[in-house]
Amino acid sequence: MIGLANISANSGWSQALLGAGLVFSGLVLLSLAIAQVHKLVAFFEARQARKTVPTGTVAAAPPAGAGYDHCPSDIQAVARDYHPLVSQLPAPFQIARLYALALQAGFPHPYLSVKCLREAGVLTPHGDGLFSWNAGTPLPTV
Amino acid sequence: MLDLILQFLTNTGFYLADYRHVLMVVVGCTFTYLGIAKEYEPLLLVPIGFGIIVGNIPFFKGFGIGIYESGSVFHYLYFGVTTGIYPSIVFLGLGAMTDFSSLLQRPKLMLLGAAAQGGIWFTLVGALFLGFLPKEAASIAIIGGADGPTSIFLTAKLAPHLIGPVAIAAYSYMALIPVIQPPIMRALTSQRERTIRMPDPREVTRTEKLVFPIIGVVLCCGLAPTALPLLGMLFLGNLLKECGVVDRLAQTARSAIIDTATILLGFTVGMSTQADVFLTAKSIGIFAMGFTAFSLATASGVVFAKIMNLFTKEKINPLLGAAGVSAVPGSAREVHVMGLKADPGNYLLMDAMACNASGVIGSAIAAGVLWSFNVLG
Repeated sequence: MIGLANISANSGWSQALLGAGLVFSGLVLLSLAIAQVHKLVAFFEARQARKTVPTGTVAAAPPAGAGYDHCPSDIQAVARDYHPLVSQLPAPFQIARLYALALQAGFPHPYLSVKCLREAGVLTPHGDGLFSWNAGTPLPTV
Repeated sequence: MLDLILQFLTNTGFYLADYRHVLMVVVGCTFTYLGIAKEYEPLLLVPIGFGIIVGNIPFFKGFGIGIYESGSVFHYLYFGVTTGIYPSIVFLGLGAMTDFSSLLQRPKLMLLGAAAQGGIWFTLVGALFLGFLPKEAASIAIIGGADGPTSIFLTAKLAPHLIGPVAIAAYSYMALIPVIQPPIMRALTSQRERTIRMPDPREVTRTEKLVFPIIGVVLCCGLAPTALPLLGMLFLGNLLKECGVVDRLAQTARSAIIDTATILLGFTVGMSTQADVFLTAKSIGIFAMGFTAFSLATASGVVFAKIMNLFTKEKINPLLGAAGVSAVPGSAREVHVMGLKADPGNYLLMDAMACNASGVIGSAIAAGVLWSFNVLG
């Protein structure tokens, strides 16, 4: 049997519709759930912090620019950490490879750090995702 | 003496070969060439290509050599494919390699991973239209998920006789991502859409990363328990990676274990393409439908992203929809490169990886759903 008759005889239409619906439901459910996780985590962490901060003390406000969305004030320190990784790569290198190395090395916030290095001019773009280390960047000695 | 020599000569591969074997050896060489010289998915194409060459050296049946002869070494190695063991192990390693941070940062991108599975459902109907049996149609349709291990797993469960063509089609199209996806992305998006920049992501805490595999396995496998062999292993691998107390296990899962499974999976799948069972009209149909599935999957992701943009305030770069197929990281890389071509300062890699990761989960759920439909049906 071929054609529309074969589709109908084997419940092809209902399998396709129900299947698509189930995959969508699964991923929508998962996305809704994980969208709430960080709120729950923040709630519990705030509760925990309230418990641990002694009464009468005021937690110091974080300095401006110290949030997660901002670059660290000492970009040279980030550059010092990332230079050994870049030196393992050919020049120019694919930025994706630097991300991979940073992840492998267990560096915190690799995407943010690389973004900051780009913005600070430590990494020079060459187009098509290729970058090179700006040789003019002075590296602090340890 | 002369008889012995003649008998030996008639048993050689050269004597037993016909045009089909030669054709398949050429295909194997092409795969190996593409893997080595062009570096198209070399981790897959090199073992598969060499497997095709080895599998198509003709031999005297009855020696217990071939992959389909019970008791042969290759038959035992192939056992891992036919039972779905290798795909599950590959998923364990994949989980231990994958950083789901980008997905946790922007959960709504998960919808693109779901939308890109559209190719599977269109192709299911298309394959039934062409007269394939329901189990065969499901095995062909899953190629649209662009996930080799998932395609092999489902085909092993539903239509084991099609493992060779389905696996070769799936891996071929994955290797050809740089050729197949860009024209579809260009055709379905405008220059202005391609330059849409995604907002900076928020930071993800360790607790979120720890909770994700548990929530993931409960929700996804609760909905489609048949996806357990794949998703159970994927999320286990990810938990090993994120928990930070079993680094040795995580390291082994993402290196030695996945590498061993990949070698054996690729090599035996390549070997399973023996000319007499592979070169059939059905295989040609599978290749054609596989191409359709993959193209439709890419298109559905892109179109769905455009539809989302009609209803949401924060616009999504529609190129990301193409990364909703689960070809990790090939399609994400392609989306990133195309975004850079449109706007050299537009870095889509992280967001594309989020879609890619959700595509892996989506195609495994789709495989589970198709399996249960065909077992229950």
